[in-house]
Amino acid sequence: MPDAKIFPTTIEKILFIKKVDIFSEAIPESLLHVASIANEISVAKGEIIFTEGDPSVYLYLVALGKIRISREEREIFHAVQNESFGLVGLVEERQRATHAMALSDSTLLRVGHSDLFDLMEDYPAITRGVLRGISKVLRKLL
Amino acid sequence: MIRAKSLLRKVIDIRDDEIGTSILMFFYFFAIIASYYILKPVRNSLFLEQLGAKNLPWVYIGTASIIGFVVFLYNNLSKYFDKRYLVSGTIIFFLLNLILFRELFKLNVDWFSALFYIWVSVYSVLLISQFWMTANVIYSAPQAKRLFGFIGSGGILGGITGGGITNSIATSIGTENLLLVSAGILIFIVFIADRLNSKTRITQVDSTADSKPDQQDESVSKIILKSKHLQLIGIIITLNIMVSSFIDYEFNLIIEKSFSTIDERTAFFGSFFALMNVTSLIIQVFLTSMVLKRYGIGISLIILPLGLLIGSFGMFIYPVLLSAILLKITDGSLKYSLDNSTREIMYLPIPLNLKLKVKPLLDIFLQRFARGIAGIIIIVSTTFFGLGIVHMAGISILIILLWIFTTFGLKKEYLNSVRDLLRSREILPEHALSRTIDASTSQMLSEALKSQDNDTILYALKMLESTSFKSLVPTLKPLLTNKLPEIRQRTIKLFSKIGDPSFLPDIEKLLSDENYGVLSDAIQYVCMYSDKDKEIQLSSFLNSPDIRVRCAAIVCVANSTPKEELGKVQEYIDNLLSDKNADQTLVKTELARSLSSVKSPSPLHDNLINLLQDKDSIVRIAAIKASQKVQAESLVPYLIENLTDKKTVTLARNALAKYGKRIITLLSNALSDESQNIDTRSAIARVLGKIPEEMAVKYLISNLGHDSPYLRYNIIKSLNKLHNRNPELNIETGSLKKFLIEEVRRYYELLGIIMENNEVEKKNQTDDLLFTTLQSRLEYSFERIFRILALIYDPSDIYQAYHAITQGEKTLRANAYELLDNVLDIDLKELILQIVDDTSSKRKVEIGRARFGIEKKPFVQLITELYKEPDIWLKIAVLHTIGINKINELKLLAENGLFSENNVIRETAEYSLKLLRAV
Repeated sequence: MPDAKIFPTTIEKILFIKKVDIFSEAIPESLLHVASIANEISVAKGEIIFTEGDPSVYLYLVALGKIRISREEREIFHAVQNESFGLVGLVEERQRATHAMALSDSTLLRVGHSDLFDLMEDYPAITRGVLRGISKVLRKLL
Repeated sequence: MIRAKSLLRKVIDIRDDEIGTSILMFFYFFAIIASYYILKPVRNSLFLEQLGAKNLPWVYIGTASIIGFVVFLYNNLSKYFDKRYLVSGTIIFFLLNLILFRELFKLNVDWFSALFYIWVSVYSVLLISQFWMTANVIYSAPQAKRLFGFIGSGGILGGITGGGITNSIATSIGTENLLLVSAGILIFIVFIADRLNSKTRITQVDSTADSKPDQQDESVSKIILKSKHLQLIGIIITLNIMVSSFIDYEFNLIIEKSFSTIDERTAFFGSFFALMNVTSLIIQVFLTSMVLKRYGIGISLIILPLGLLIGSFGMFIYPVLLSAILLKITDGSLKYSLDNSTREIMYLPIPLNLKLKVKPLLDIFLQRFARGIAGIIIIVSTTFFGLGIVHMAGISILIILLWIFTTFGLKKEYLNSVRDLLRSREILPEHALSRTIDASTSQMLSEALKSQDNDTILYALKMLESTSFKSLVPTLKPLLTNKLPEIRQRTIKLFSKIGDPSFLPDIEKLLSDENYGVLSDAIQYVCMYSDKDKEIQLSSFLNSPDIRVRCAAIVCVANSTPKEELGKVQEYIDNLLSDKNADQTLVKTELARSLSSVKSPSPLHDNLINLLQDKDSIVRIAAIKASQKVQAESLVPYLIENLTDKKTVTLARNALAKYGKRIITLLSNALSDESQNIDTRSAIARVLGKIPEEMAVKYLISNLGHDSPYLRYNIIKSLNKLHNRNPELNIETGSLKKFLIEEVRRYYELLGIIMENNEVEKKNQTDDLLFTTLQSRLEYSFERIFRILALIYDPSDIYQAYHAITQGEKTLRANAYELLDNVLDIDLKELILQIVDDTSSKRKVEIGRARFGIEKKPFVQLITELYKEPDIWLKIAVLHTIGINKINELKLLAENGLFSENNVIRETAEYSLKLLRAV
């Protein structure tokens, strides 16, 4: 397991969030709000973060480690440092259709979908940034 | 070399990367016109001497006939040869022709002068057209406006030089040998043209994608017939050439009469062309760019016909040598300077591959065709009707008036073409949703309500909440027994909304419903419409252990009790709120919900004041929703308080907006209240943006001068919303212009800070939060400027221009620049175009400092000033930059941050000091 708290200060959390694909296009000051709803969690190697059918309530940002995302045993992708997963749930608000497991001891930032939506509703700059970030992720996938 | 470049930059508005090509273009045009003005005096004097001015119309017609063939040949050759080789080949062909003519003139045959006259016309038209085609490929519209003046002056200097050479050496080397001098210049032209065209080849191939696929294989005539813009260019060219031919004819007749020998005429032509080109040069240097940049194409298109109108009046009244000289000088000098540059700009919005097809036809064929028509008119009017110079001047006046009229249409079409170019990439901003239910929608909803899928039913019920649905009542009734409580509850609400008691038997069945929401709404409905003994019924409800039942009953009592007896109802409420055994969150939220059903106005609504201030956001949310419904003014200040909480801001905003015009003054006072925080004031601005009243517009504008960019952004955005949704609202543009200028000043100030920041910090710019923050603020500043412009001008034009500019593609940016250049008023044009221009940030900062007197400050001072601003994020970013870039001079600021009230500022200050200590 990694040592707890790799982001002891908000500024360090902001600097990390700024590098993550989905928030990379957001204006810097909006990240202060995102940092306030992002909680650091540690997951051990082999630990399951979510599985198919779980309620989709969080978006995860990988600060350290590697996460395997799969569907019905078929591997879809690996989320590594500065990448996010759990994004589809943010958009569709459905149950998880994938399974996420830590391939190594990992540190993640966990952002509640509803908290993020609240922020997006109140700060169009965040919405704009997140949409640009999603579009960037999609472009990468296509 | 560096000095020469800097001198050039001082004289003309030219960028570093444009200097090389523009100098080549300058000399290219210089050489073409110099060679032409060596040949032109020879051509004119030979013709007048051997065939006389009366025969000029015949060579006009001859030129028109030959040119048709030349264009046909040139177009066919262009299909088989690369443009680069075609241009060089044409020049070499003319060079060989000159050597041949030199030999032919030795034979002393009269009609050779007519042949040479026509040949010189073809020569000038083809070479000049080739030159402008190259220029069109190389330059965009904004570049053209800056540089065509300079490049065009090369041609005028060429004219002066060519005329000068003819004058000075004609007698010493002989007329025939002047052709060899011209041929020598052509060798120089071949090299320049080849160099320029080899540079532009790739651009040409790429730019074929500019046009729509179906346009690529169309014939030239079809393309012109489809484009009103091209048709108007064609009409103006025709009218221009016809008038020019009449003037040329009048001029030559007077010259023929005024000078008796060929030597006198040659000498006169030499000095006349020199004078004409000097005038052209003066216009080109001092007027062309200024008129194009300052007044735009509308005015520049009209100057030549206006000048010729005045000149032709002169000729009409006094048909003497002086009038002829003045008229011809006006024609020649303006045609080759201002008018030429303007006409080339008119082609710029035409997709390049279409332009390459169409331009030779318009410039070469149409020009000569018009000259041929003029020739026929002159022959007919002089031979058959015996008209003289005065009459020709009269005909010219009529044609010029038509020409002036056509320029207005051309300007309009030109702008439409620029708009089309931008619109083809436009993403539609918004789609309005219709709320009216037509027959087919009603049928669709009826089917949805009968669906087995509860999601579908709920969707249909939600749709019905905002519309009229009486025809769907039979379909709704069965839903009262639906398994899903939300469906039952929504159905009761819909029946309550209709206000019809006929559903009572069905709803009474729900008084024992296990779901609280259903039960509460059923009680309210029953209380409202039941005929039974209300007191007994109510008493059982009011004493129910179920909070929701009690609250619903309170509403029933309140709505059936006279105002003066409401004290009793207030007692029920107080008892409820002081019931320590009850879940107070549930009590309060249910009470709030119930109060919303108490008919307005009612003193009971004041209970919402406490609920709006409750510590629990769930209670406040319920109270806000109730306030939105009851709309008591006493609740407004407490709704405003809820704008500070992230959890309630959106609901509070919507609730306040629903109050509408009644609370505009209250809102504007809160907006101007410096004790309110910026987030609250921004939320108030957004509320005002939802109230379509001129007072709201007025108050929003009056707060535009605030220092906070975030507040300004929200105010402007609200104004945009009001303006877009309610274009009939009057917006006072005078004060908006004042704020726009101030916004531009702030833009330059910010750009200056970024420049200073860039110059000092090289260590870690991508991770530098201050740098990225300032960059994003600059983008927002730019957006604010355009948002204000959208309040002054057509929002659609400004929207298109903004998106084209921020997308970054060069051609789109150029088109946007062109649109703005033509749309903006003269007092704002320069101000805005300077920030839109592709010039370097460094240059922009210089412009901004000079224009607004912005002081250049040392980096440390700038950073300190930024830190002092009442902006938490800016303080965090400054502290971060101090640490990450190890700026020890600013250590004091970081130490100061340790004492901030804000937790994140304190943390960042510590983080920064740790980095400083690590040096």
